[in-house]
Amino acid sequence: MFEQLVIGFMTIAEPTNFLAVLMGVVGGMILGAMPGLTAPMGCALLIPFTYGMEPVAAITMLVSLYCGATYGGSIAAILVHAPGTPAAAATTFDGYPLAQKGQAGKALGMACISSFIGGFFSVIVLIFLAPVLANIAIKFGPAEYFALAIFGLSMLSSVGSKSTVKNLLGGTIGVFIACVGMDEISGFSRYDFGITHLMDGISFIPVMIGLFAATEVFRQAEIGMRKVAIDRKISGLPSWKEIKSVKGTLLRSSLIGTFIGILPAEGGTVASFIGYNEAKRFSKTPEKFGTGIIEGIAAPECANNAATGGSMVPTMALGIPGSGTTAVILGALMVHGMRPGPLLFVQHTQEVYGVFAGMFVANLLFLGLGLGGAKLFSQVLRVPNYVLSPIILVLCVVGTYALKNNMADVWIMLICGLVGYKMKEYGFTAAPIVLGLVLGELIEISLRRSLIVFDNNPLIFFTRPWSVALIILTVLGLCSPLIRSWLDNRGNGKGPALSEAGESED
Amino acid sequence: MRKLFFGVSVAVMAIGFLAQAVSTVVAEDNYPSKQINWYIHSSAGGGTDIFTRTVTAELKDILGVPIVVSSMSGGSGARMLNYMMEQPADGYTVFSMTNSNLATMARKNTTAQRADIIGIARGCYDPQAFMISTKGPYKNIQEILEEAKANPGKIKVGITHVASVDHVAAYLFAKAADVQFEYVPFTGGGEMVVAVLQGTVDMGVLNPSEVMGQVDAGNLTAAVVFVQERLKSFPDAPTAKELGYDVEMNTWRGIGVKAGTPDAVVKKLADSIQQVMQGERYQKYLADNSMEPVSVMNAADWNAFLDAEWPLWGEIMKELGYVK
Repeated sequence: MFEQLVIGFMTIAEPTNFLAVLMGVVGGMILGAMPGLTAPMGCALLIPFTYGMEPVAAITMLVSLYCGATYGGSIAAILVHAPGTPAAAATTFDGYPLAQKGQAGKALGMACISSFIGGFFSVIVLIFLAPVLANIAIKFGPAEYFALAIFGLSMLSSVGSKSTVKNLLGGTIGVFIACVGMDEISGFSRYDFGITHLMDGISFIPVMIGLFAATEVFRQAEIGMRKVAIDRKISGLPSWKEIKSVKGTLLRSSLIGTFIGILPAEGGTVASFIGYNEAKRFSKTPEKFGTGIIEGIAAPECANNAATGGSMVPTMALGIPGSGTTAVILGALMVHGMRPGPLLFVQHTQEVYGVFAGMFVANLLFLGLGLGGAKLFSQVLRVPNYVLSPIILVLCVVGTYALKNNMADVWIMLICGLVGYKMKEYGFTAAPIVLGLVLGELIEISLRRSLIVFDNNPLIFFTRPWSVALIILTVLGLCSPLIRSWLDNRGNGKGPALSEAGESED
Repeated sequence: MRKLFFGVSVAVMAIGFLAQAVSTVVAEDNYPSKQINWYIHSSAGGGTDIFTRTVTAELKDILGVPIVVSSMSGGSGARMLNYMMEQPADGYTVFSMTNSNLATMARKNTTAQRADIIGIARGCYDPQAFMISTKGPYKNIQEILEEAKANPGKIKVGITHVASVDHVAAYLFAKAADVQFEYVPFTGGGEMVVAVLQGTVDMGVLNPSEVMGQVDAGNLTAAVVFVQERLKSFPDAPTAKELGYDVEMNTWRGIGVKAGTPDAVVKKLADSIQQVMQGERYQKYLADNSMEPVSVMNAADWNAFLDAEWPLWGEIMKELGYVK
């Protein structure tokens, strides 16, 4: 295995292959940093160019683009509150406040390092455990996905504003938005008011760009009217001590991200939310999350990059894509005569190890480019608001339009921007809506699919091991404030502290 | 003076009319003289996108004009077809189509109907099959049919989306065999493969080309194929016809223009596309994607094929309750 890996690295060291990796990473970082331009789109555009290339160069270029784009999404999320990719939405929670506090360098550096660690971890898992772990994907049926989605929804209690009621309301709105359009089970369109554009539903990306990026542009415009110049400093990179302080979070997020990545129906977006939520839950100072702490950047960024290697596991070992981008990569593998499936590792050992080595190199490259470029990227903040904000808005419009060449998406984005702007005044945040929208479809379809498959027996959710495990985790998670205060009481022998728990849940 | 002026104006007008008439003829003869806009109804990176880009990469050199491929997704082709209806029938608006466009038309989600489209060429014909797990309880289609007859609705069949070509193939088969299946819709082929492997569904309607990796590993196999002759990769899987059920329903991709496009333009486009599709590069694309050379059909054959398949969609959509 090591011998093959060494041969793989030698293959990547060939100038053309190395150039393919470099181009993939740089292209991916640029695509990732642009809101609306996504990794699947980039890979799809590249495929025709890879026809004439050697299989290893072609596949590593696409995979490098995937890795680069997943990291690149964090740059715009941190600097201008515009998640470049859906998976970077959770990075805005702490990344943007930290950059606004004058520590953009530290935020970008932390995002880059944690992306690297997550990505690196997942590639190691991919190399050594892919065939074993691919079986997890086979264990996940509709019932398990339903339990996972419910677990995801339980995060509404901690992601978002301080008010649980407002978070739940936001989450419900998100789930409702997910109901618009074609009902996958019955085949009829819902809430479309006869508008063709709504028949496919309201896509996630325009809503996300509207709620995060456009809302912030409108808010900046308001601030700008009051005060023209804002003093924005740029700090250096995070120190070694700071990085070491989040090592637990990095390990946890690496595991979560890789696991979620392996599941065919979910990718980096859900991974980053869960990574963030778990970091907050395990933290001794959960109240600091959302104010701009490096742990809040490390958790989601590490998780979403760990999902890259994770989603390559079923793609290569089963021939089943683990995410939108890997679906395109799967097509490319077939085009280049590498038939993905259980025998890929045996039949195309050399090419497969070349791709693995390419992924290692891609992760190293974006680490170097990201850390080296952090200061340069941060210069964006030196641009005055009245110049920067219009540019961001234009990029939002162009990016949203480019998704499907559809003006309807642009209108959805702008409406969401205005709604998000007004919403913020009343203490609602974007995160619960986005979370509801991401999970809404999965919840509905997995519930209904389970009921069809298991002859309308609702008890199946409690009889299948993975499903039960996830439901127990959900209940524990929801009760954790109560359990914690109960443990504290016992430990300290003080009076009931239920009021405290009530407060954090309120 | 006035007479002269009159004479000149008449002459100018005459020349004008003549020039216009000539230019119309020239426009047809010179087709194409400007950029061709080509639309696909699915998103970038999908099978239809790759098919279209494989064709247009060579076609643009043959025709000598730029071809711009854009994705116009929405309503399973409804948005693209509606847009086509608004464009002039001059051959500068071309689109790639699949079975799902016929479904959309049959469900009347667009104003376009079969008569509004001229088929230019068929490029892909991807066989569909009932794929089963080799480790599952049923070893062949006879066992499945026996079970389905004994316990109606017990056999669960995975399909990608309802009212799709998968659904229709399975429905036609069930109708011909006089059994009842329970259909479980999935949003993508990958999820369905997992469901077949884990036994969540008893079989799935899949294109064997998508899952050859699992077939090679001995995890999946075909129970029935919906093409006329047995597939080379599954010599043991009977065709539906052999079993006595005349069902042929497979995934195709083709190219079309709006009805009313001048014959000369259609011929030029169709001939050039045939040239591409008979070429080495396109044939390699078919082979790489496990499709047979018979995928390629010329305009006349393909229009006849569409005429045969179109009424079927209308009927089935009505039977399944998707159209009143």
